[in-house]
Amino acid sequence: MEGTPFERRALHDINLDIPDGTFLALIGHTGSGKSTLIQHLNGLLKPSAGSIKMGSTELKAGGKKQDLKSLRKKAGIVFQYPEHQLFEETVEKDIMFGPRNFGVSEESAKQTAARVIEMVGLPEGVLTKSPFDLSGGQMRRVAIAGVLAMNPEVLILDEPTAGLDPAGRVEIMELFYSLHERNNLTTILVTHSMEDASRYADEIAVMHKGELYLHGKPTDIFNEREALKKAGLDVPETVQFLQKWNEKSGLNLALTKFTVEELAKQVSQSLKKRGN
Amino acid sequence: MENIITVKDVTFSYPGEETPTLKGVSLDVHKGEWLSIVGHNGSGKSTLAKMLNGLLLPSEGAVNVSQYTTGLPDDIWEVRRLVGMVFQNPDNQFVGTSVQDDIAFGLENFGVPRDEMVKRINESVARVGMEAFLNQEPHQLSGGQKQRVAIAGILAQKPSVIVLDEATSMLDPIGRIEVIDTVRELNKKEGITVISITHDLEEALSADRVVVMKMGEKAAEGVPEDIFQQRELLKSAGLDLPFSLKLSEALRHQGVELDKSYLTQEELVNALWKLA
Repeated sequence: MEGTPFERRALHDINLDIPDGTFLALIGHTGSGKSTLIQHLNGLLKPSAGSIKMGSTELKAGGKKQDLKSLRKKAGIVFQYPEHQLFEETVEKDIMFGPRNFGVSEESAKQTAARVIEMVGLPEGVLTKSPFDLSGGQMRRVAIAGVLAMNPEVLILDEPTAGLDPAGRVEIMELFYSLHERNNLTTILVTHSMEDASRYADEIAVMHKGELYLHGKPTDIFNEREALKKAGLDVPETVQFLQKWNEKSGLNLALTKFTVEELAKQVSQSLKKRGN
Repeated sequence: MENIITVKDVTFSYPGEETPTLKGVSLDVHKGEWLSIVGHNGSGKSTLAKMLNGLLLPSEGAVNVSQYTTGLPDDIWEVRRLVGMVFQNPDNQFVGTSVQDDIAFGLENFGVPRDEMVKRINESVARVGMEAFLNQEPHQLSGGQKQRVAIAGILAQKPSVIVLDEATSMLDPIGRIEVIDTVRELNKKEGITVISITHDLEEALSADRVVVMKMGEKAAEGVPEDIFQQRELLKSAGLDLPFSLKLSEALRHQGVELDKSYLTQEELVNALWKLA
């Protein structure tokens, strides 16, 4: 809303390179600018200054609109509560809507629907059902299938596990991780969960007050506990625990993977060493 | 111990649904306690919450709040005054154009005279630490602040019970802590009974008692120390183990001879230190 009293700069001078095939976690508290940033990545918002380049497509401040379409085809966004966006009579039609909009033939869009419904772990029989007869978790999978139907190279996930129970959360994150691995996608996960970021991401970018506050590998980011706290965040529980153990034992252990299993291994080895 | 709410043999079916959402649920809520209700998506926990202040009425069985019964038209207003609900989405429950209007709305519905209203609004915003925001509009508030205003709106009606229906699930970590700390203070200092429907296991760990819902039935009820030792029960209810319990288990798997599973990181570090 430029030129009105409501004008507010939500993002400021962000420079971020995301290499092909990266799993990037974008973290920050509400109002830090992370949702604004991802809306730039597929051209829902245009930058007031600067540019966004994805592959060979570039979107510049003041640039023309024709590049938006190819940008949107490259980058698929799974929004928060994506099941709220389902609208068609059948699951199949809902999934076909995107490809049909981009001029794909009916026959080919149908084949795509059958392919992607399997990718999200639902039986083909679901295709003929109304999306509104499905459970919440199934609806979310259908909505994700609709995004996959566009064959995105970049998958942008805006808090995809919000509102799910703990088991559902793990299921959906494992689904995205296997899609990322198998289809060589570049994945950008917007999350509040340092736990998810530590488990899945190759790189973490922390947003704070509209700026890119920290960016690096998880091991580097988690060394900056004080800086994270200033941004209202903290290191994952695995790292918190290891710090407590280091303090108590006088050791200087460090994690390379941030799973509970890896932590248990490190701690038990340090106990055995002391025992000897 | 005195009960503030008794749920007796409650069965409930939504219109047009064949399988009941709640099946023969009985539950006593003790005066002044913090009770967490956990369970998978679709376990019936939110339906149960809506039973507690008569937003939904049992198909069979009864819900009593103090000396009132939710099913009796003469009692329902008193029930709703005594049991306040905070819902998931902060934006869906902010009805006023400013903080004080929002709180006044509820009081108007109960026909509270103006002088008394002003007094109660000032008191209740102070109790949630929002007194500096009396004239602010909703869009100027964070999610956590909106939820605190919702709580102030409830407090103004002098309730005995606050029900949090996944009230922190859409908030970022800071907002979550803000809301939980506010409610905890009301619980500890003023003896307001808290019933929290949640997916946040760390929050449930600090409750006085925990109820596990599964497929519309009450699967378990007890203190967190007992409930969270029951791994299979939690798994089958779509829940995960809290971090320290998971780590205790992984450590034992690595051959560390822990005598039991620990609920907090501090306890676990100390137990390990004794083994070293």
